[in-house]
Amino acid sequence: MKAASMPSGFEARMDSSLRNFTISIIANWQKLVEGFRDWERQELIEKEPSSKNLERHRKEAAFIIRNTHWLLSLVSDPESPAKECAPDIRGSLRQLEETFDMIHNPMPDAEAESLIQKFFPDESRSGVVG
Amino acid sequence: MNPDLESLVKAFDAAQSSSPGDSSQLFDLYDLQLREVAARLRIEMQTLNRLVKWQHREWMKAEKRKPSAMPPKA
Repeated sequence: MKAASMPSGFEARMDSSLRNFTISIIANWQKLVEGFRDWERQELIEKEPSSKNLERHRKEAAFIIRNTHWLLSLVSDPESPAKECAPDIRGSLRQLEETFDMIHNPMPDAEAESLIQKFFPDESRSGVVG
Repeated sequence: MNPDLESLVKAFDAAQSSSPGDSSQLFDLYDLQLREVAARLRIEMQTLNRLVKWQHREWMKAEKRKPSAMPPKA
């Protein structure tokens, strides 16, 4: 029995569909990350966070970071139709991970002040750049 | 602030606040600077990175506390 033949133009449509599917996942992820990072900056970095927000951030940021690893793996696949998005995703992943570490694994104040005295002795201690 | 530390905090801030398209390259520059200062001062890179992040957060809080330059609405 003859194998079913591909409908005319199917290959081209499939290429386009795969790319659109991947790009739409990335676009949704970008929107999510942008909103999350705005909230993160306003509620957890620029002010002392509440314990509720800290706990919420720990769970949600960890979930977003895991998903970003997955997305990076998806677009880095040799067959990926959106390989050009990998550097953007890699950059966002580093931003998310650095901020997570800054919030949930901060250097204790006493250790930071001691290191500044030892290695950066003319620090003004005002906490202001410039 | 010590110029070395200030420069690192600014490089970290540039990478953290940039668009995703620019951040990989800016983090490469930050890492290069971090490596250079860590080697010169003989401090572990990981420790220095944590110190920069601590200072960056202090700086962001201080910036937020500054009064706005905009005049109050009538």
